[in-house]
Amino acid sequence: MKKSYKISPFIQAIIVALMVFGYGCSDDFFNDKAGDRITPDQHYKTLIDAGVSLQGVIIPLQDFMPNLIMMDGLLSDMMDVTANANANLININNHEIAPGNPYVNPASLYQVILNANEVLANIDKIAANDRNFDAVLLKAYKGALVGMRSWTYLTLIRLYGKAAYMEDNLTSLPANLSQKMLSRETMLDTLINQMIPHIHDPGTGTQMQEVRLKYCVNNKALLGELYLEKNDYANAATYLKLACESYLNQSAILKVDKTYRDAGWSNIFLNSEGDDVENISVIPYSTENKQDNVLAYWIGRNYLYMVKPTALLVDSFRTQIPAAGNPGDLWRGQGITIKTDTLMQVNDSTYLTESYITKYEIDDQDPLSSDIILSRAADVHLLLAEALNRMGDETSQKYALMLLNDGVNAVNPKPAPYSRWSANLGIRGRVYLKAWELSEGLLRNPEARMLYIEDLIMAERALELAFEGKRWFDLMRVARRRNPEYLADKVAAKFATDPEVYNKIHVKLRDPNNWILTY
Amino acid sequence: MTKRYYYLTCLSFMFLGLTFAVQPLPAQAPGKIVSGMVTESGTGLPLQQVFISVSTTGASTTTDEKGEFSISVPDLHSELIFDLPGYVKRNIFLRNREFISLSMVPIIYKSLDDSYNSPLGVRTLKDAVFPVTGLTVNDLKHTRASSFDQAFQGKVPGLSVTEQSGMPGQRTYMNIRGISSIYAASEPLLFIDGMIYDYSYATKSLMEGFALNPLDVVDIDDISDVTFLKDGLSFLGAAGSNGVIDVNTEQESEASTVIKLSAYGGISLSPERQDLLDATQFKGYFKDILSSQGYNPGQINTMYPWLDGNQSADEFYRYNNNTDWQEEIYKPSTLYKAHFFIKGGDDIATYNISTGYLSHEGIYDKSGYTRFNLRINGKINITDRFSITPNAKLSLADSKLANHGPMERKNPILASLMKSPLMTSYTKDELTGADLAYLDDVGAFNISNPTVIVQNAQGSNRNYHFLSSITAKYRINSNFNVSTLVGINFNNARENIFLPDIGIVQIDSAFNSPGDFVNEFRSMQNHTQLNYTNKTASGHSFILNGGFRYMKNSYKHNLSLDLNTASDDFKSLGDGSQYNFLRSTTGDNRGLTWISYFGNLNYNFRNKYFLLGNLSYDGNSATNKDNRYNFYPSLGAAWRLSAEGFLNEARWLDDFKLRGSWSVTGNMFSSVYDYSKLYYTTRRMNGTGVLLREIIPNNELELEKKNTINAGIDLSLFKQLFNIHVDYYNSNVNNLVIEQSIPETFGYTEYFDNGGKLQIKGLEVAADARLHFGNFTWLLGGAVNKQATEVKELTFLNPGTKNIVTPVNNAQFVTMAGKPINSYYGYRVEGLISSADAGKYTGPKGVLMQEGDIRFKDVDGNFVIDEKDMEIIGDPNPDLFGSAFTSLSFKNFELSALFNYTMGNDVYNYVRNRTEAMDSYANQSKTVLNRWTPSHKGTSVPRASYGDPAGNAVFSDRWIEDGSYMRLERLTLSYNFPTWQGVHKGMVVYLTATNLLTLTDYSGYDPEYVYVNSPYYMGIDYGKIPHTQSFVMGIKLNL
Repeated sequence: MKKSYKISPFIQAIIVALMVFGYGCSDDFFNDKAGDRITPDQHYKTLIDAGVSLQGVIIPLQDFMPNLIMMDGLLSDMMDVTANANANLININNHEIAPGNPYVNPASLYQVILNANEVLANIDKIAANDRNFDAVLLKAYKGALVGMRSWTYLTLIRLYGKAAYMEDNLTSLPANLSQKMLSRETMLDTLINQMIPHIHDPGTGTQMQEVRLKYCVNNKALLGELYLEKNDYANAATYLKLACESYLNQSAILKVDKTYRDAGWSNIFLNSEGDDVENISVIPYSTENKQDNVLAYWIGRNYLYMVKPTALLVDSFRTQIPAAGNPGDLWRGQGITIKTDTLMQVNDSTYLTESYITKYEIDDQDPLSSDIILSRAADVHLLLAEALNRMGDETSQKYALMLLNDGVNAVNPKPAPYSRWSANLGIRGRVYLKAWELSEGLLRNPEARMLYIEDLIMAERALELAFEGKRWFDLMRVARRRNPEYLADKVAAKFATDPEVYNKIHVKLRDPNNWILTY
Repeated sequence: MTKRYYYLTCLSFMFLGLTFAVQPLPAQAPGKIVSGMVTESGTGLPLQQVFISVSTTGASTTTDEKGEFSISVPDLHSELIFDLPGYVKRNIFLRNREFISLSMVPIIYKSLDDSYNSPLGVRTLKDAVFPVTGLTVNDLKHTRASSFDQAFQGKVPGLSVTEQSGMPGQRTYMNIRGISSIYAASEPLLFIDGMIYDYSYATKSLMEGFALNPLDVVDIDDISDVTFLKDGLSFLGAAGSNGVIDVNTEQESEASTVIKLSAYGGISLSPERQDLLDATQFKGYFKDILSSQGYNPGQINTMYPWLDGNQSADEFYRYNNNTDWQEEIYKPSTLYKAHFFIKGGDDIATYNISTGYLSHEGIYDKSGYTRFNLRINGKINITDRFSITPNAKLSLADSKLANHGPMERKNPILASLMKSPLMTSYTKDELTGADLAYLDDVGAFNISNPTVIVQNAQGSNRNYHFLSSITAKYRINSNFNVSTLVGINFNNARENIFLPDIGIVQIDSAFNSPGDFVNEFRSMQNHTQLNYTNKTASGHSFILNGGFRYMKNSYKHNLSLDLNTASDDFKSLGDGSQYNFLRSTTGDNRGLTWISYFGNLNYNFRNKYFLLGNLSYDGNSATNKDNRYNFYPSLGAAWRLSAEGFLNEARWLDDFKLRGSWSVTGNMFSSVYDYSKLYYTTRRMNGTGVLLREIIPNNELELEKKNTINAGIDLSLFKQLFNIHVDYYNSNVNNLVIEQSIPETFGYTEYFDNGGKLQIKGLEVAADARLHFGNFTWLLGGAVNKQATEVKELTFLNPGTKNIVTPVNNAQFVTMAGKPINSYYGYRVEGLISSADAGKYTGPKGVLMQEGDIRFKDVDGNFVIDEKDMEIIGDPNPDLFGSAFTSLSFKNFELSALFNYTMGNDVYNYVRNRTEAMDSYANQSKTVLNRWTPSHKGTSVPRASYGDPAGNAVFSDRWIEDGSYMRLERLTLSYNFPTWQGVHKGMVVYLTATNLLTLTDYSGYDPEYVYVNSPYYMGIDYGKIPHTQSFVMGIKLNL
């Protein structure tokens, strides 16, 4: 027998109501995450989130830095193409860049800017959420983000003459894709204004413990570089010097000291991530973690070998005069930055040689894990020397030469502003190269003296910072303050063997408008 | 939020308002007597014992031996119900007739009075307002299909079913009414016993060209009926735009116990061979290609001393054979299946249990598919108002797979076509030339040993599938009932592959590689609905449904690959290299939550005027908050002209109905929508995971919505012996999601938005006829589908962009306004470069073209062949497809045939590209004997040149072929044994031949294939296992 249940109208009403309104579906109900993608709401909660986001800002540079170094080398007088080079590289070398050249694509740089803006817009949430993320850290992170963003903008305007300026966090595309393009000059002022609030200045009363974040640029050094780009030498010198010093006691933190003396110089590149007396900002690579340095692959003799050092650079290393011994830049040149192999003897006096760049295979066991250094102490010291020299007074120029040559260490008594820099060995002193001296004639001619010292600094930068993505910017910076001819001479020298090409390149590069890349 | 409740309130008011507006009218007093006669459709014989009742009064009678009856009705608008076991039940309105002449259709034939199951409930076909097709057991019988979807081929207008390949257990690609999206799913949504099944996840595999079959959870012998709903699916909202296939396994309860046994066995034959170079011809070609590399005969002789038949040369025996590699790998294979079915019970509980085992061997060694199925359905009547229906299905399927992707190093078919006939499977004894016991390595021509791929390369897929639901139904009163279903669907597939070292071409330093893949799908669902039915005495009929559906799906996969194990005997993950960077692990984990509130109104007046409205309001987790909730309406009306007075007397006309409808549906099954809100991804910096943006999110990204207008005619003539259905549809997707490329200054240049407009227009005609001559019954019918997809408009953010070009492996597609979606995009061939033109054109690879190279069409006339010279060179979508069937029965014999065809679809024959490219040491097809040489100029086949510097073999219309075909899909002869009391209640023996004959101009093995279920790979033939010709003999026994 079947039983018969009666269901009250009340229950029936509930069933109907349940049916119609079913689940109370709040928005949480739809919070389905894709495993490999998340929303901003799910992030920005803890100190760890801040860390991974900060590194996320920099990571697109893993893609960009190899391109930058290729562009820098080929546009300037550092690199030449080999027979293996592809058409895009040949075009860069010949300053004939067509739109669509993948090496010139700035997208990765804009990714840094977008991500920096994104984190800046959200980082206060972390401070509100995680007590470990205190005011000091918050300030440090904000500073680091603004610094990385400014570095990126600076790189953009140097390469492309202008940059799309994004004020806020870009959470959606603007109507008609409109963007504000700032010229080099406007952008420099904008960046300086943005940087100043993020400088930990020993002169102000509200000092804070300085937190240096790994992989990020040094804001004072960057501000100094921005001023230098504007030819504001006094400000440049001030901030570049501050960058090297700890705010507390003015002792140097970026030292150019014995840590990387003589044979140790190459350890700068082996120890790039673990160091804090030389390396400021590093883009790491690691084959073990599937992040191959494609640059090492492009240039390596055992890989694609698409570019090689120019004969000029090879010669420059070979002809350096050391403090003692045979000519040659023993600790930076042959076998370290570059290598020249003699392949065969053509006749009694001529040998066929082949040069290649070895700076990114100093660790020959795992060259594809070589890091790319964004900025380091030697760079800042030489920029400081450049600014000091340009200030024009004799004392400053003396300091400039001191930093270039044997450093504060060799000077007694120590000059007052550098009294706590006694560990400094000087750029050349560190690798046992002979100090440059000024002739009597130069001592009497301030203008010629300034140009002479500047030439020395530029030559030194080419050696010390070869293939680190600095040369093209150096040439443009100096040529802007001197004469476009300066850059044209330097770059065209690469083509000296072919007068026709030499002239073509020289004529082209005498016009600063042709320095600007199009993509 | 308020907007949502506004819609909800609307919906509930509509629902409640309609339910209470119509109350049954009191029955009227008896008025008239009507009489009539009932005959059998087809034979015209009178039917006796037909039970006839009046729907309003319940008065009833039966027909006499002449098939005549008379009955008293309240008025001449009453509805009569005719019922006779073995015949399709009919409901007829009198429509002022006092004499009814009626024919009834035996249940084995199709009738317009058939009912169909839809997600909303059971409906009658003849009253359908939206286009619908139903299939029954009869349509799915006597097939060797390993999966039920294969058996749908050619049975349903508007549905195209393409078997992915001839690999046993392989899934199909199904599509109803065209591809309406670039990024979202294009296959119909499946309902299995009331549960929604989004099987679009089943596309990934470690095996190129394979996709696990998500449908093997249901055995074809368990299916009782299938309904195809092609339009009007607004009640499914964002899940409804690709149509619905509603599959029901045997559910009906029967008091007596029924046992059914069925089994078949048979063989598949290996395919017809492609015509390739033999050993002598290959030697000639090989020398030619060597000399194109710059070697002179002397050098060639030094390098390959065995080439000139010098018996004392090293490896003479290894390289002086004449092997037909196709012969080496193919073999005939066996197929068999057994199925057991039992059902029974009483009025408290019924059960319905079946189990089956299927084994299909592949046409080459070590490939095959076996499957075990178990199904348990039941129904428990707790009270006369309350019932519970539990339902469970389980399948375990084991596939042994072969790779059939574009890489000849792994694909045995490509390898067998490209391997030089000079070599053999087994290593030769250097001195005697006898076969040794182990397989030969790659050898001089750098093509894998096909026998190694077939025998030693491992590929297994284990598919575990569990699908279960429980439905509770409560009848509140005679008008209202409520039901709720809770179900889970769990599919876990594991794959293991191993590619050995010996005999397989190496890539870089990787010699062998094991791999492991896990694909997991879970779905949890609840569907609850309230139904209201009412029929008034005056002939108003209402069916109302309202309720909600909730679905939570999770799609997950993990994939690991290892490299370089110690030897080919170590085949597991972890046996590989000690270097981490040689290992890779990837995975994906997505979720989708969907909730939908729906209402449905079905109204008709005396089966003459029909009105159908659907409304749903749903939200899903795919889109972001602002665009999450959407409203999907549809409206349809139908008019039965044959019920109008002016056609009352037309005896030849059984049914004539006009239909018109409009509907809006959405397509939420796409991961692209994630970019409306989810845009953080992870990368690694050293060993740490860091977080950054992946894209600029488009928070305005909307679900694609499809608007469809449908118009149809249903016509049934001569006592339902001749039926025709015509449907015209016009679907528009005005917010098609496309990929935009935006300036570099935004950092991320990829951006998805609703920037496209797409239109699909189509015409479907299906007709069938049944003829009776004495003991002969002849059925014939067919369907024609004409379909055209056009991209109406593409709005690009970047003014420089004109179209979307998508390169896929070795091919290229374009989506261009005014053209079909995903057309082939490449060069056009105009012949060969003559001596006069030599050195004039720069070829696609940047090299000057010489005499004997292909002359590509130089569209811009600048003598440089580059991307500016590319044109649309073909369209993979067919213009026309359809089927034809016929069956002839005589007494207990039946002979039936099914034909399928497609017309106007272009195919990219990649296999021919590889065997006619003449750019390597691979064997080639006989066509290359006609190649250009300085002494043989009047030809259209270009010269042989190693590495193809001129680009003769690049993607061009040289490789595009017409893929039209007509195929005799199935020919069946069956014999129906009469019931033998005490032994069996029915027995059928049948012989089915599958794929007997294919008419096509296509030069490859088989014109029917799909590489993977993506619109981009529809027409590319990478060398898939062709469909086999097979013969099976089967038996079905009812005890």
